[in-house]
Amino acid sequence: MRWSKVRTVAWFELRSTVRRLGYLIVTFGMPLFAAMYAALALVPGYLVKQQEAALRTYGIVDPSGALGLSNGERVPFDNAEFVRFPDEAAARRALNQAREIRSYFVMAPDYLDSGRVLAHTGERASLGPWEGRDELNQLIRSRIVGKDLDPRVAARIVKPITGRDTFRVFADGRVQPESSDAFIGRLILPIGFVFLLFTSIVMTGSYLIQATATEKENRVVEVLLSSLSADEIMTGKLLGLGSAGLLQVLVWLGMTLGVRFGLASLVLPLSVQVSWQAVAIAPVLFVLAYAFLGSLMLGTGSLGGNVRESQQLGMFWAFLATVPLMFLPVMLADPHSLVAHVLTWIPFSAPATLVFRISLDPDAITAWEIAGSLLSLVLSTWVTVRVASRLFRVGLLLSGARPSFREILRQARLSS
Amino acid sequence: MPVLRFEHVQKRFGSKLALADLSFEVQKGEVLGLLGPNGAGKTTSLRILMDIVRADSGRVELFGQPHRREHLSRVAYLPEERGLYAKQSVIDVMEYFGKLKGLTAAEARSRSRAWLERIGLAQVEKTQIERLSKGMSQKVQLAATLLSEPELCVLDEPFSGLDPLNTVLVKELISEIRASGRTTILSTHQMSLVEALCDRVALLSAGELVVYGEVNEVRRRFSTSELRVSFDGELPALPEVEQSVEESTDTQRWLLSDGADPQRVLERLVEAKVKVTRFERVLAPMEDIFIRVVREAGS
Repeated sequence: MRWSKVRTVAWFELRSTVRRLGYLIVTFGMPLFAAMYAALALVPGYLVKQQEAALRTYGIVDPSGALGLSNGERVPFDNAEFVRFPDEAAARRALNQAREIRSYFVMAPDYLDSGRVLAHTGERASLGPWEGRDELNQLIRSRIVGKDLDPRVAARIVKPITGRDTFRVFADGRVQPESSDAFIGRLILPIGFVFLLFTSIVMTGSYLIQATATEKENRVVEVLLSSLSADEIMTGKLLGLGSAGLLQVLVWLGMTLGVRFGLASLVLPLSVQVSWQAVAIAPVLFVLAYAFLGSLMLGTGSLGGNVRESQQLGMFWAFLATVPLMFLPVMLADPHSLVAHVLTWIPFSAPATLVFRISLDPDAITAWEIAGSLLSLVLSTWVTVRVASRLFRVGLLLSGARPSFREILRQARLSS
Repeated sequence: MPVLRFEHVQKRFGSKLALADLSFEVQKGEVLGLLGPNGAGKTTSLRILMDIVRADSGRVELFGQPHRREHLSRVAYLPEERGLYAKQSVIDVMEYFGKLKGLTAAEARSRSRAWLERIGLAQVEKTQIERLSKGMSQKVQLAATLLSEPELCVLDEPFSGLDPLNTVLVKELISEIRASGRTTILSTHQMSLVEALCDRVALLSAGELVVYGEVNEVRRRFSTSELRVSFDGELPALPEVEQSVEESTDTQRWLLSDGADPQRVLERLVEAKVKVTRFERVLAPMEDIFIRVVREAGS
């Protein structure tokens, strides 16, 4: 392999791709489009939040007298407020004519025996009649037990848990406080990893296939093959177009992080805790996975008779990178289950699975398993690049209809 | 030492025999015309030479050594089915091709500019390839091929698509390559250009080498006994001349009878004190040889 030539191809591919109008539009236009879409999606959420923040008033009719409220008495609960009406007629007037309340609840006369409460909503109401049920539960609990018990006991019955402080206990005995959303934070790296891997492979794959199909069509490929080996062309393309794809993903990531930190408190109030082992191994796995899947895509994609066929053949591999996502629930339940162990050793799923497992529980995966998985991935990548370069060479010289499997094998044998 | 030697090279595509036991060589500094009808195996031979396809058997030597990919940095190839990166500028494509042949970026750029000047396309340096005419693209590709000053230039149909003016330009370029002591393999169907440019020809038919040798020797080999004579005076009796055709007032073409000696004809003219200003053997045109040989091989 002559690396100076590989570098020349890589630089040419990178330079010609990033200067394309289509690339620039996708690179900078996609985040803007996504931002606009996200902004639109946030509007309803914001409006609902505003509505929730506003004081909601509900009526209550209590012929059983279990609550011990006097007529017209108002009881506030967080953003809700209950008003006692003497009878249903008064509650109905407040609901449909005066529109003072959103709905009203009628407690059965034998409430203490039956526990029955009837919810009534207005003619024009769009929300369900049981909106405010949580607050009603608290109201009933506080009124029924509050009378006879110690106020502290009553408060615990009404609201048994007031906080969600979480701690993480490590195998070496250390105990660390952990925020309630740290678990989600630990998933950010592996999910982000799979997303980046998948996106960069899909984006790069489409550039690779497009570039190769164009070279086949305009016959530049013969000039290239007269100066470089198929291995050198393929490696150069993988590096150059891979860099273009990665650059695109980094731009998106940068813009996303900008938005994330800019609007941190508003949009994503997550405290991200990432294991350093996962951070250290993720780039290595990314490169290996990219070389492994990218060469497979390029090798098989080059066998297509036209761009569409090439994309169908090539994209098959990109989806294999997402297989670990399908097993995510299994790995969340137990990152060291048999399924997780098996996926760790399969080259297609090893990169994402390793990152998942290390992120979820860095201490429980053994060094030999990491080393073995990496070794299997390195070996598979080596074999794949060799096979793919043969397919690539065969594919470059073939034109017209897709060759039969037998023809591919024959040509690959001859090109060795 | 030959620059290129094919020894018993064979290549098959499926059931089709593309090359059958092909052997020939190309000497340093000469222009070899690689001729043959469509499907004769010319492009396959060139692709084997450029390591684009591999021979099934036989041996290829380049620059006196067994063929190795490293040697190809000294060889430039203009393929028959050619194309360039349509969306790139002329200078970028030329620079890229130059770098692939081992030039530095600066060398490739300065040589590209010089070549564009040479072929009269300096003004399109920054133009996108897709905006060029077909003839312009052809010239750009030829220039990009020759940029690295290769020791061996392999040109597959370099004249196709060129107007007469540009044909003359390419002829001049090939002559310049030859004058500089470098070697050219020229595959073309234009036989007049073969006669004008080539030192040696290799004519293939159905994957076999059917004619190989120096151009004039081949033409002599395939020529009938025909003379072109310009003279002034009364002609004596010439029993050797079977038939004569007047080409102009003072020039005739004479077809001699079988076994007749042209020297004897000249002696008779001298004896008769005829003033002879031209006396030459008419060589068979390459086109006639091509048609005859290919038909015979086909039958």
